[in-house]
Amino acid sequence: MRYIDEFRNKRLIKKIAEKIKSLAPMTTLNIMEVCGTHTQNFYRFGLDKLLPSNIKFISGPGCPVCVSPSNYIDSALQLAHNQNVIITTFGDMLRVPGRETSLEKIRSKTGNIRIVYSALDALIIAKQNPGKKVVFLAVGFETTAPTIAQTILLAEREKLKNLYFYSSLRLIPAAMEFLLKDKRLKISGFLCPGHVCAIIGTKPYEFIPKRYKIGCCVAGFEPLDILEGIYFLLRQIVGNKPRVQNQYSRIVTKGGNLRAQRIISRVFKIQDAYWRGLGKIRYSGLGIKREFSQFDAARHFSVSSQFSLSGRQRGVLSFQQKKCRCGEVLKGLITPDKCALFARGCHPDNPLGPCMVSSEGTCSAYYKYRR
Amino acid sequence: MIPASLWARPRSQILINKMCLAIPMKIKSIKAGFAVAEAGRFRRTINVQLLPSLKIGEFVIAHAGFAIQKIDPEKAKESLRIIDEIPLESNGRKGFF
Repeated sequence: MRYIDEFRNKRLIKKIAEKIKSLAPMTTLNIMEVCGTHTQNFYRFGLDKLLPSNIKFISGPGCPVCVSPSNYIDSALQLAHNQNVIITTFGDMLRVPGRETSLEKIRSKTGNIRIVYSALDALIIAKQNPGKKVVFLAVGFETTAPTIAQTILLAEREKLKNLYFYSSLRLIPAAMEFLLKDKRLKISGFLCPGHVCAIIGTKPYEFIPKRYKIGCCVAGFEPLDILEGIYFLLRQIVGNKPRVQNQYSRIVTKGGNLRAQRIISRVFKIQDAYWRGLGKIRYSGLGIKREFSQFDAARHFSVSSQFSLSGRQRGVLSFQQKKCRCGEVLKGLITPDKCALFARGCHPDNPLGPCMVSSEGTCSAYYKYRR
Repeated sequence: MIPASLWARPRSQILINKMCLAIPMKIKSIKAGFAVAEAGRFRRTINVQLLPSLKIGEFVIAHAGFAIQKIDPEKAKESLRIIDEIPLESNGRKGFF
């Protein structure tokens, strides 16, 4: 078993799609897939064509690149202009627009921005360049947080003095609670992100069925995983028994990866954070603890670790960026094609809003597979 | 401490561009917190310190150079079996769309 092909089995996909069709009620259902990879794979594998048209899929705020505030990018740009600094980042971050430009656009000018696959690569670059300060743009959710925490611990053990982390790490359950408080949302069920749950387990979602009476199903990312997750959710909706179900049991347990959780809480503290399109959400971000402040880029370079748009900054936003409706897309209030900029000025080669940047962004997935 | 194989390794454009991607990999060898893992013909060194009781031959989900969780083969088979065995429940609205 390789855990990929088996979950793309055509016969089983057809079978479960049939079962979903026979189970689906007549009324319109809105199911929110929180994770960007769900959104992308949903369209990539053409699953939307297999399901009844009255089941609507809404993409949630589950793309870390999309929710990083433009101030964060601006601060990273500011750091990139320092010739003594090497910026290391995941590939998706390069094209995220700040207020005026993006890392990709200044990359050829400054020559000190490098794409890495892992935070460990940043550690290696820091070792190879002892005369430079290496800054890693730590963006991601609970899945990525332990990898960064572990790298910080490794850097401490190796006594590295030239490696810094600029944290914009976010927590998913806090954002889901924020969404649930918005009365305009009409969500019948949540498809919860499998790899976030691999770390935190299924327990942190239990407040959703308890307090808001909305069902949740943790699902994997292969076509059969997604369809089975939808089937489980439908059964909850039809039976009116909301609870947290786990489709991705081969990876996700109730408690999650305890060691990873311990490492996260050793290195990071929970703090308020700004989400692009959503605003400030209480206790939804991770900042580096004081004990590890020697690795905190926000402290060392005195760039902001709190991001919000002041009135004056808002005025600087270009006319087009003001028209961007990524905030509503992230909340699932509109589909990307309702935005005036979608495919008219805003496309993956020249993204104006953050949802068009990353391949996991809702607008980008829509542009590629649905347009 | 950081193994030399991390310094020179194949670069996959797909892996670099998608930060959220986590893929199943098989553990080939383990040494001092790092393991050589394989996905098809793709091989790389990953950190396995987040999974203390990992053994050679087991499958993990690897994300951004780290093994973040083990894959339970029994549970995988079970979820495939469940799909095969769910009875077709009809609400009398077949062919609705």
